[in-house]
Amino acid sequence: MRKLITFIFLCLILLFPVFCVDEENNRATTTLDFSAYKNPPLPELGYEIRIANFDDSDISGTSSTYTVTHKNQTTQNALIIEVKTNSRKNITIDLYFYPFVNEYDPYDIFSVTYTTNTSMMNATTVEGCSYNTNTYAYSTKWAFGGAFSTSNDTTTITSVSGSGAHGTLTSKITASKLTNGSYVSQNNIPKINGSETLPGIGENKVTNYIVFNMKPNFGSKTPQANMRYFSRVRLVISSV
Amino acid sequence: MKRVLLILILLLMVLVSISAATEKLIGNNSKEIVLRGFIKKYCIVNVFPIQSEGSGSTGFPFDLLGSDVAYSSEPMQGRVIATWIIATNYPTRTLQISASDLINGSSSVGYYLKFRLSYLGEDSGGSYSTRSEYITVHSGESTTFNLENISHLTGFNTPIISTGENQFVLFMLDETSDANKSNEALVPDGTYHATVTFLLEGM
Repeated sequence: MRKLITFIFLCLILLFPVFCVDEENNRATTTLDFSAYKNPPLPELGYEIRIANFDDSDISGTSSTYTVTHKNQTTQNALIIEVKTNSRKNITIDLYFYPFVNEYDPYDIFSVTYTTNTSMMNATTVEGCSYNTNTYAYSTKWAFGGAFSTSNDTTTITSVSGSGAHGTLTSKITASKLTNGSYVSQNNIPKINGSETLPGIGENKVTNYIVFNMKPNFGSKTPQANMRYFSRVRLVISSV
Repeated sequence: MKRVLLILILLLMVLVSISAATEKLIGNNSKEIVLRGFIKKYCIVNVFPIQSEGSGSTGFPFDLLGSDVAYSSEPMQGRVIATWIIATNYPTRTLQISASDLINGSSSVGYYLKFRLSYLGEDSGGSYSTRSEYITVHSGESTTFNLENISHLTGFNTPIISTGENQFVLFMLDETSDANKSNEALVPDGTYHATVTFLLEGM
């Protein structure tokens, strides 16, 4: 009996180093996993929209022209849209601008003119991007030119007239010039739109982005005091 | 007698169970660092990947269409994607490197990896100097290098080979992939992955 127990313990003692030393000292291994890409697809695309707020106290100017100036925007840019991309392919940016509508009165509409120019619409180079404002003239690529308004070829609202604070939208909308709509109604507000192509980032680049700085102008319409007006901007990005 | 045998068998089973279960019990909630020491003999190989940051010219992932990874017959060309070290004092040593192609679904891209190997060597006059060379591996193959021919310090009792840090690993496309890289059918858009395995063995 004692011999058997002794034998078993001896076996355990002898086997112990076998369990403990599980790696040979004369061998070493390691691995390296790496990746590469070719024209990565668009899912990495990102964009950001920032829109500044403004109210009655920001409006200044003559009785015929009200220029919105945001309190905190010394550059008078009340609408800032940033579009960033890390796509290798060109992307198309379609912007749709809608007029301002009274919160409670759908017929109290402000046609709005957004003004921009080369200095306000900047293509910024980051992380080694080769594109810059000198070689890529965005003002000439912009479908509306350096500035656009409701009086150009894509006019959707020709005038807003009426009496009193509310004003009445008259049927001065030229249907033939509507790009994608019909007469004004609460749910079918005409829009002005434009398109821009942002080039792919090319070799060894990380991201590219364009900034649209817009200055809205409400024209001759007088906004009602203590009333909120809403507008919207639609941004559609697609791969080219 | 029977009871003693039963107890011993139970003890053995418990030991086996503990040995087998410990790793699973703690495996999901712990991380480990492997510390290696040696007595007289050692064999070490390690690789340190470089993550690409911004538009930096090193690391991965990288653009297959980039000029920095295009094929070149020049020996020092390529993009640095990692650093590596090896160290061993076994008198006979072999290094085996196996590299898979870059794979994206059913598409594959062949490439070369060039490993800078810089070490202290002793010339016939007994003076030491740093020597550098490159060893080249083609993807899709397993290549074995006999490091016995590399000079080593003989002033020690055991001959050693030990590279310093910053031994670069360079990547470049092979001739075929470089010629086909713009072909959408052969090299479609997307992300590609590869694995390189190192085995350093001393005898």
